[in-house]
Amino acid sequence: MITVAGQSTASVSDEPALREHNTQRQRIGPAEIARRYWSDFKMSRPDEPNAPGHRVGAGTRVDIPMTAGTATDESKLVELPRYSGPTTERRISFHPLQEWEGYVIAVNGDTFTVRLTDLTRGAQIAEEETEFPTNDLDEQDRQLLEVGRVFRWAVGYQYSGGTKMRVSHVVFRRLRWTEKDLASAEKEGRELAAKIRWE
Amino acid sequence: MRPRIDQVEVTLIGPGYGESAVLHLGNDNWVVIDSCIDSQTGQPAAISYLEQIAVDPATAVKLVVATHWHDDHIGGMGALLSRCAQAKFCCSSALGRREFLGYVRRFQPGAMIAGGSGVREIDQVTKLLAKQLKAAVAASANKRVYRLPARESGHGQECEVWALSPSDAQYEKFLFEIGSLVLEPGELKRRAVAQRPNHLSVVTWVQVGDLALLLGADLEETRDAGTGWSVIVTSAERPQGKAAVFKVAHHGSANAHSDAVWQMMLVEEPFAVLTPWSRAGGLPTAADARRIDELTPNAYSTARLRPSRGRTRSAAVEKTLRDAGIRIRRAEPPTGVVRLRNVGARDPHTWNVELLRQACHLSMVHAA
Repeated sequence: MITVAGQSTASVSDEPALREHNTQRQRIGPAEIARRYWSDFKMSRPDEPNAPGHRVGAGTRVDIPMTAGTATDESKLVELPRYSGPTTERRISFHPLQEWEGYVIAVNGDTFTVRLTDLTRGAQIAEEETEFPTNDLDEQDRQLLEVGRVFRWAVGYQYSGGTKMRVSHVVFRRLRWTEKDLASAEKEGRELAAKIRWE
Repeated sequence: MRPRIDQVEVTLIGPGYGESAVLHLGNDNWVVIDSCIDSQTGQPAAISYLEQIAVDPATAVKLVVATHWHDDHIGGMGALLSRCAQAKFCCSSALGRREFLGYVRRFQPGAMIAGGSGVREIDQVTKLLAKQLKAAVAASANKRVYRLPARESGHGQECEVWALSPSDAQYEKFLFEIGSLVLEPGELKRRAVAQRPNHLSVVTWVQVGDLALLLGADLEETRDAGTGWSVIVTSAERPQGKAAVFKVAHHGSANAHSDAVWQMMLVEEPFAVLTPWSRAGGLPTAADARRIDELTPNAYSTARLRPSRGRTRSAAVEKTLRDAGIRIRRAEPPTGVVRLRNVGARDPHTWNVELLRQACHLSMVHAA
């Protein structure tokens, strides 16, 4: 999830964070958001073997950790073209034309099949399906590829140093279960089960 | 147009995404088995259908059955149950076990991950039941779950709905499966993954006088005599007789086929209806469709299994997809409807078949 240089928003990590992001955007404006998000990032070198991040279609990878007080352990939130230095950082932006949330339903060797919910249209159910080439994933994501993994996919324009190009980004969620998550679910399940009467 | 009070109706709707069977037992008493979302209205398909024929779901639906928790059978179940205010809800009591509900709760919106495999619907339904303090009907093998007395049925015949499964062994297997879905702290979050085979599927038998209907849910045949179809066929405790209408189990798959069911539980050349399922090459396969067509000339599908293109998007998006070699298709064919209505009290064994929207004879399910 990021807003850069007063331009628009790219992917993803979770609904509460997205709501927070949108609230902040309204409150402090895109320029300030861009400054905050870009104030602390680390860039993976495009030539680095097994660098985190991956792409489908054009684009080079930059890792941007979540900032602005959002709690997440996702290490990779969006991928952008080659970052060419601090003087141009605010000129990189991504304008999504189309976004989906998807999940993996089958891993077929060279490809994996996904179900897609059209976020741009506001769809509530996964009505579409496609295949992605497994080779488009970096090594780390390939190893983690399994049925049920959730990702955000965005197609849009990327602006960088006066260059505009169409890109397609797939970003897998890397949230992890915590002990608190699991204990809380177990407790809620127990309480709910106790409330149901059977005849 | 709604059926007359003395007409029995079996309407199968799907896929859009999933399937739903809507049954008229008589005198505006309706039963809904499973839920799916209508691809045209975005609403639970059973609600859309009932409203379309001027039936009020709030008063007319007396029983809602969830055969199992897979998302192609339970889409919109929470909304369906809220709308059917007078309906009893029936499912296997295994779905109300704390182990399963604990599993379900892990995938709720607060957990910041997409739900799946019906877990969100199960969560909505159980919360609704807890809130309304309404007792749920536990489905298990050879148990009558609903009865409509003859004096209220509109055709003078008593109506009964029976669950024929899950058996004790199926129940135990399901709990074992849930137990094996243990998640450890630090594991990557993912969407809930449905387990196969569908041990918990609730097969339903509907008896209206001497007329019987068999709704096969997603029950698959197994090699274990205590589970699958074998245990149902051999049971002496189930209602005996032969059904005139069969909702073919598990989209007509070979795994769900049992010769014994066709020989011992169905009349000759019954009406066989199914919804197709497009994942993993699609069901029914061409061989499945041929097998069923050879067993009865009266086989129908709610839709054809032809790949259809996804939505058209802006030129820039379409070009990006083309450049990347990505083709998006609809996950499921559009929703169709097969409606069977009998002639009524004077001739309950004669049926009229209507194929609405995408529905077709089963022999055409793979036709372009």
